[in-house]
Amino acid sequence: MNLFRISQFSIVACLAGLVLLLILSLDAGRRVQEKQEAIAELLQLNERINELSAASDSLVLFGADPDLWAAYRAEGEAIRTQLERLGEQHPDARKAARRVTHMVESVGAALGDGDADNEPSRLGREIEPLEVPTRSRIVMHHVAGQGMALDTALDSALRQRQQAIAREATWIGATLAVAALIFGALCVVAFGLIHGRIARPVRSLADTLERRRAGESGARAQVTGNDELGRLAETLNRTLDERDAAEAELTRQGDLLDMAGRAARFGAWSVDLDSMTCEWSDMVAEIHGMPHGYAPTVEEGIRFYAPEHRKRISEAFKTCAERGEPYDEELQVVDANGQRHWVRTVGHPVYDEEQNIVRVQGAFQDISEQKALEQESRRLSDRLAAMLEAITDGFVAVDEQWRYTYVNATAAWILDKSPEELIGTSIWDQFPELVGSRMERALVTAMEERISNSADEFFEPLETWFDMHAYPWEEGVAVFFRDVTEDHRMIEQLRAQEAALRASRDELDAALHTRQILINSLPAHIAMLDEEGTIVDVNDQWRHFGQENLFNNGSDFGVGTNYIMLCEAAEGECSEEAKTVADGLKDVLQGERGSFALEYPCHSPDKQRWFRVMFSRLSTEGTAAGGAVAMHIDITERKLAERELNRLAYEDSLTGLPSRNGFARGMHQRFEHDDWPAGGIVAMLDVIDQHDINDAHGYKAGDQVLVELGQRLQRQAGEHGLAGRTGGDEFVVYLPSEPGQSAEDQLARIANVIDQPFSPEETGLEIEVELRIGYTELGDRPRTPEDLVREAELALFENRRETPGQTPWLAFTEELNKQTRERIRLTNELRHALEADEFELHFQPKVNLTDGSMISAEALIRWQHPERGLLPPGLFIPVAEQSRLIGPIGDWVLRAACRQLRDWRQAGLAAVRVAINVSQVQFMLGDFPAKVRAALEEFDVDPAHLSLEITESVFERHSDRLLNEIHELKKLGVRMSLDDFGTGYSSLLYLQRYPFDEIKIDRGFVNHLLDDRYSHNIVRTVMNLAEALDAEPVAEGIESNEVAAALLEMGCRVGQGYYYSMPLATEDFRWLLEMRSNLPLSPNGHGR
Amino acid sequence: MLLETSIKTLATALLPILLAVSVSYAQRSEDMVRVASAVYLGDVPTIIAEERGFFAHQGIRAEVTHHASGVLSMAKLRAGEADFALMGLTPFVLDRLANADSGGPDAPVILASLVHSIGLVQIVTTGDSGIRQAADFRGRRIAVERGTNSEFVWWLYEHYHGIDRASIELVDLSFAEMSEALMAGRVDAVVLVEPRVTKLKARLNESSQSRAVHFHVNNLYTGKWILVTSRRTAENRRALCRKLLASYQQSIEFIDREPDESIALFNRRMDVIGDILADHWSALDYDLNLDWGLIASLQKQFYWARAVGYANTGGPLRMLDLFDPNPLRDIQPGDVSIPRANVPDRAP
Repeated sequence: MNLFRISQFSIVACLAGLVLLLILSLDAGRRVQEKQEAIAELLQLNERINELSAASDSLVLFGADPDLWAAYRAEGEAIRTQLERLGEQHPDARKAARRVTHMVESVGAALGDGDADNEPSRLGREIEPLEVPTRSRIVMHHVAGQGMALDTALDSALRQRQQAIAREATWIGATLAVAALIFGALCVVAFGLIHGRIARPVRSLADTLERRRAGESGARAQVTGNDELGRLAETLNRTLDERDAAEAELTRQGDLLDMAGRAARFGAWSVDLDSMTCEWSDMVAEIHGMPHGYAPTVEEGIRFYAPEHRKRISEAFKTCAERGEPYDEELQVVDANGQRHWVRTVGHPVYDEEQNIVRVQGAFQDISEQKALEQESRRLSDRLAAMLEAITDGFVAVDEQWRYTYVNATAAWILDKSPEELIGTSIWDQFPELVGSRMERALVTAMEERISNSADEFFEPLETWFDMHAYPWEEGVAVFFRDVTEDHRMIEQLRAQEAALRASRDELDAALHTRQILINSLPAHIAMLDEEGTIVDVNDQWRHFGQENLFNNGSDFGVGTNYIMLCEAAEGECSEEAKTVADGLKDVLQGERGSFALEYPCHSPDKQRWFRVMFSRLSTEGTAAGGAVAMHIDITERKLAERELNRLAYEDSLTGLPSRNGFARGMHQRFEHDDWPAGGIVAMLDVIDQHDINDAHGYKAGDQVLVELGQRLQRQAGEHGLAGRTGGDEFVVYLPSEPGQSAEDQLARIANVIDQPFSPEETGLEIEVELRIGYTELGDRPRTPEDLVREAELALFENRRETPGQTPWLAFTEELNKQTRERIRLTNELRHALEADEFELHFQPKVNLTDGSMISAEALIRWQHPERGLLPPGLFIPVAEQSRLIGPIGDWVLRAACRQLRDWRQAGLAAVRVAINVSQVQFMLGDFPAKVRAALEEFDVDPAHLSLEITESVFERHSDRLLNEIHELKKLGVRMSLDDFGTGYSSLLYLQRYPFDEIKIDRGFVNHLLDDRYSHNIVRTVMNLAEALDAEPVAEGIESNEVAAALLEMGCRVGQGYYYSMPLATEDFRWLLEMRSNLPLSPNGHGR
Repeated sequence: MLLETSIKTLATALLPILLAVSVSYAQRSEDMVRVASAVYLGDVPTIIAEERGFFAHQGIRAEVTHHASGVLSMAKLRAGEADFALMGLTPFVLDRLANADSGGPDAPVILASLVHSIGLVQIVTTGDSGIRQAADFRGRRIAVERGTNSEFVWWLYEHYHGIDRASIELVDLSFAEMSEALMAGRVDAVVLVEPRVTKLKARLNESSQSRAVHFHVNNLYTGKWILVTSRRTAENRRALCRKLLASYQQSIEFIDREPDESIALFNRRMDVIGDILADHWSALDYDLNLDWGLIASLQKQFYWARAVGYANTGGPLRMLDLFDPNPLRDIQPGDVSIPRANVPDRAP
């Protein structure tokens, strides 16, 4: 298939592809829309499930009328049906459907809807809510309501996001379709272009070449454009044009050759060896004095040569005709008129296809005039040689191959070689040292550029200076040269003397210049003084400073000024230092001291400056004969840096108030000058929740609040008091005693500084802040300022630990001091206990309340204190949590529990699950799941045998990270337990989201189960909640059989407490495991 | 050339259509409605709809009146002096208990909830009242406006903190009277709504009296602001209800988009100095919806009303009869998640 057809076929294929692309794009768009509708349906279903879940809480709390109850159930049924339908494709949806059914049934069960016949909506009666204390109902509803609002907001956000994604997908699809269409269209265009711009021009080119070959001289290709093929057609046409022109030029050149032959009396001849006849050109015939067209035989032709040359030409012709050897001879002929002519005849053999010589042909020229000129030239040359031999300069001639062709006698003498040695040899062979020299360049220039040139150079091999001149001539270069060695020797001597003089002068100038630059570039004002103290020379700095800062008598401290007199005449601010300087200078000039230096402040017109003045005696002989050098150095920068360092050390950069060190220094200064101010106080305060201000309004606004607060405190402290900022949001204030004012009054003054709200410019808002204050009264016992600040700080620290809402200030007391020391001591002991391995685990069984069989155990840490004996966790865990030691202690418990589980397993004891308590601090420290995983792997413990008990307090710091970590632990296979439920902060919302396997009912409720209706209701509510959350309720603190029985009657199956067993040491608990007895044990150690 | 010709042809074809549409729009008659609202920070959407012309944009000529409380809004609706009313849940719940026409044409029905908020109702006292914690309220005079959310909120607070009702004296005052009474010392604390709380605080500052002390009930009470009309209006003028809801939706979208301008408009209309809306912004969630959360809140208020002795003379309570979700479902089906009333297994 040729190119033309292929391009047509491609265009049709592209059109078909375009149509197919359109169809595929429409189909893909339809599929994407179907998927989006499916996602929207799932989102809507998820929203309905969230609503139903929320409605469940509401119905449990407030009951329902029959219509609402029926609507709730119908909604549940509708969701279940839709999930079942989805389950055909997604099996997990069936699980969800069952959970929806369970949820609806759970709500029904909780509301007394036990059996279908008694179903409330069928009876048309109100469904009573769960019996819950009003306070609990209020709180639970509020939390559930927040959850509903959150779900609604999240659903709304999801819907908006899903719509945005749908719009984006549609846009992307449309873009892709348009791009595909454009691509298809471009393909059609591309192949159209191939057809129009390639296939057709190629066909035109081929036709043109065919026509040309057929002999059509005017045939030319059609030029279709400016592209490559167009240019190819143009090139072809141009080539054809050039070929036609070349043929015409060939004809013209033939004519010109004829003309040249006539001018140079030059012609051609040819001899056919078969017929042995000659063919002469017109010019050859003319040279022989024969008419045009004359064609002699070979013999006749040879007879025209002079008799003495006939033999030679006959042999040359014969040799050429027989052996093919060409010849070129200069001979004489005698023309038809008897005139002799010198001719040059050239003969060449001509071969046929079998390499037989069939013809001899050649050229024939009359060279009579040329021969006459040669003779004249030779005569002149002889005369020139004679002249050259006579001159005193050396003269040589070299040809174009640089061979000596002539050497005169002088040249031979200078070069120390005979002419015979030199002529015919190359100048470079004879004198290779010339290569690279100036003489070589002069010779080459004359030879190649045909320009006369000269060189003056010392030639090492001959130890001679040459003055050489080279002149181009037609056969090469003519060279004159002479020995100028003596001239050069004299010049060299003169130059050496001049250079030595110049070098000495330059060195002197350079030394002087360097010294001047050095002195001028020094950052000091330098002056040279004579023995009287008069300035005799100054550097630039001295000069400029003097001109810019005229002395008080108008002097510019310039040359001629007497330095001592000027200093002695000084008045005003620096006059005292000036007199000291004058005395110092006198001492130096009189040789009483070698040098003098003084630092002094000086007020230049625009700013405060400091200088260091130094005098150094020039004479070393102890007399004033040599004068002195005065030097002033500006040390302002150094002085300012010292001041700034001082400021940074004692001043807070944000507020400008004294820093902690600055405050202490200020107090020291006050105490040094005044008596001990017994009635004063030192208070340290901080802003409550300053970070909230920063988070809400930005750090800039927060900083502005701190600055304003600092200013108010400073105003409150007054002239005799002192305020400082010790860091972050902490300030310290010293208020001296005021007549008639108690410490409380003074503290109230501090607290009042926040009566007016703060208005940072950044926000345009008014911000109210609260303060927390710790203080110490100075009393009669003197202390250092550092001790006072530390006491106030201690009181502030204790105030932070206090319950909010109390009096905002707290005083330092010795008891507080003692408590703090005790806490620090306990922290240190705990740290030591970890290193000394003083902790141990005790285990309290969790039992099945129906038969007393052991289900699991709770591991409880004990501290075997070396002096105080066995300590329960309540005495040291709070301190450990404060000091963050809970992290390593928690890790120890985790690993100790896992190690114990491994030991029991290796001892062949029945597997029992062990629960350990986890502090929220352990979660805050980060990466807790990884630690659990590592401990399980290290001791090869089945995760199902480990349970983690977490108190409700973790929810106070709820975060997505906490939720993820608990889910990660759950996924690991560890059992999660919510400890002390009912004592802290648990919302239904969180309970729904956290995957707890069990909920432990706090001992406080269990203990009063029988005698307090409130506790009874709480226990029942928690059990209902646990059931709704699919978690196991576990009762803590069971101390009697009656309580155990009541719990069992309420449906609680698992519990722990002293009634069954107290926490046991490891050995005792192991014994219990080995016994496999039910609990509680009878007095004889057997199970009941 | 071809492009120019195409544009001319298209313009010629579209011109009559554009003219017809604009004439039709100009000739469309506006619906006149009377909206009774109350001075409350949750009512920002109404202010925005008025100021930004969203009512007019939907073809509604709205005559909005702002009353001292939602109780008066409900009274205007009941008296036929308003077509729509905005209020908290308490006036609606008490109206339902007091009237026996539930399900009848004049019975109020909820069209939508407009806002979900916390912090807009606060218990306020003065710094020199000596009240620093919940227990300090014992023996004090507390001002609430009966029939409004303030009464309900106080009940939540006293139950949560275990304050015996007999240990305090509840004084019935309108919201407008509360600030004066507190400053004059006639009461020790007031249960007040925004923006009145902020105004009270400003007045205390101006008069150099003791500063205001706030007791938040954020952990107990979530505010709802509902749009109510009569069942007759909801069923017979459903298109009007749709338009009104659409204009509120436009307002809410504007608030989300331009919070600063919304704050400024509200402050100007309510004569509030300062940026109170900004202080509460994170606690305000404007959203047009009908969900189980609203049902739960209503249930909680009915529970309260029964607990404090409001008699139910309106017959058995049918929760789903209190709504007409159809107009909202027409325009935003995704925001209606309360169940439909006519379920198959409805009790006889």
